[in-house]
Amino acid sequence: MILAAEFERCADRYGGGTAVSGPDSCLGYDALHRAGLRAAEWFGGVRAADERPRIGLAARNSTAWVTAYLGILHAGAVPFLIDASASDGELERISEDCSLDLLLHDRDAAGEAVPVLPGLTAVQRYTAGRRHPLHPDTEVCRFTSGTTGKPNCLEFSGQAVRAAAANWAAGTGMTADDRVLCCAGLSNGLAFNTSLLAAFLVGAQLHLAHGLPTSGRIRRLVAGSRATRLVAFPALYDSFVRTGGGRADFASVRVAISSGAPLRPETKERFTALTGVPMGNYYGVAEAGPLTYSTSTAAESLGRPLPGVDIQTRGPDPQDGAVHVRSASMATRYLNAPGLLESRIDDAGRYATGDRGRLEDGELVLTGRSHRMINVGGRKVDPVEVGEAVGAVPGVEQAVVLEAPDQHGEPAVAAVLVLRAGSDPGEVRLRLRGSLADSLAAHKIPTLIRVVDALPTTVIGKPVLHELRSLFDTGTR
Amino acid sequence: MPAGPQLIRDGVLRLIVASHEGEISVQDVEAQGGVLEAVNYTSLSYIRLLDAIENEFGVYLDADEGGEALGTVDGIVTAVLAELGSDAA
Repeated sequence: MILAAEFERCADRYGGGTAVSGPDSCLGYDALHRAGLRAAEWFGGVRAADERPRIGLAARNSTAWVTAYLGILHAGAVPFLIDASASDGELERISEDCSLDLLLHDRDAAGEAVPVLPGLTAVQRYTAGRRHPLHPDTEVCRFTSGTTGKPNCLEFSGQAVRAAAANWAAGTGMTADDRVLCCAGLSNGLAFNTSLLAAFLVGAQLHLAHGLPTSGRIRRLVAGSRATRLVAFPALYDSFVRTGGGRADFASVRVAISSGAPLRPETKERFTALTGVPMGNYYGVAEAGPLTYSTSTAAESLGRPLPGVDIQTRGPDPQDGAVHVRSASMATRYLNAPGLLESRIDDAGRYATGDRGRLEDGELVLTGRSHRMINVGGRKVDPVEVGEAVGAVPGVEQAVVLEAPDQHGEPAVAAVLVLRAGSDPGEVRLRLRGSLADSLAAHKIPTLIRVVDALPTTVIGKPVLHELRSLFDTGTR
Repeated sequence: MPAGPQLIRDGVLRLIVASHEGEISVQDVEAQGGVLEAVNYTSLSYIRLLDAIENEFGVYLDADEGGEALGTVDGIVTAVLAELGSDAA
């Protein structure tokens, strides 16, 4: 139980200093540790199929989230960290696929939900039966959007989680003087790796935000927390730049960190011009954690590898190679897709990211991103998963889901449909939203839709994606 | 409806359409009773909308404090009018 012991050491080391604050409360290191141990007593009684209960945590950022996370670890159980925006149907599928024993959430409590911590209730999920065994070293599970029609559950050892946090803190110069304002959900790699254990390891303060990260909201949060570090997806910085920053006082902020999706060079430049704050951009992948960090003003560079990270680019073209990475924070495997992660890791332990790029004076420059998934504002969407859900909507005969630019030039989830005979396109469009709301998170539901008589296909029957993408060129509808 | 609030309403509807990812009209919004979720408004669209309202009307709407009311055209118009005070009435 590496992580439980690490958090205990943090409490011993930093005592009464402020550890975490959120919309619900503020806790010092000692108080957080005690609260975690109290929660552990409750989690220790969870009925489970084996000696390591699997506890899903699907909630927005709060101190209760952190307390629950620590409580699960101290109880010797395994937290499964799930995006708070997951739909009820997605939670159901994850619970079944990963054989969760208990699900903690912050939604309206109904049925057999039991209050556990302020704002968090639990629903027993335990069902006897076969389940994929956890790796003996696994202490935390998180999810990627997958590429196989369902979220892939990543298993992480305590050592890997600690390494990600320690290397991030060291590589970015985080200290006990830092106050980290985290606007990304803690289940997401951006927040999990850069803000949670990383802040506690050095005795920094973690300030949690949830809700829509609009420019106006962030100005107020920065002023209230006197944050030294801002952690957010590019959408927040785009928002800030769109409003011109307003009357922003960012004097306390030393760096603004962005990841999860490409940051536009003009956003980076304009944000710094408006606030005087340099932007730290990093490259990371869910399977391997944070990999590089850069505060360079050069628009293209994603920076040098963090400690413990090795990056190679492979292929005949040195300017455009396949990016392979090895890090101390690698996931062990996918719990619910045996063999898949291992198939993407070579004998030397390097993971094929699917991205392309080059190393320029030791700094990573990406030349092409993997198109396995659609990236909507930092959230990855699996087109296969969405395509299957859309294909099941009444009136839809065939569906292909792909990425297309919206009217703002941002990547959006698009769908091309072939309808069943007699179906009315207008009615199906309207039905789509209602039909998918229970099975998909809101950001996965297609916002761009085209209806065609037949899908263009290759000789082997695969959809011709470039032809489908052209349907979304400006002006066509 | 007095001219001021109607102008605000027209402006809000225009911004709702402009902030969406590209597939809706004012008629679509009205046909769904002004409920943004019903026209597939994503969180990114909603952020764009709140930014646009701040830029256009000079008012800051807090989506969390505003709760579900800010998920409809009527709710947003009411909130903008409240922030503007009597100027628009």
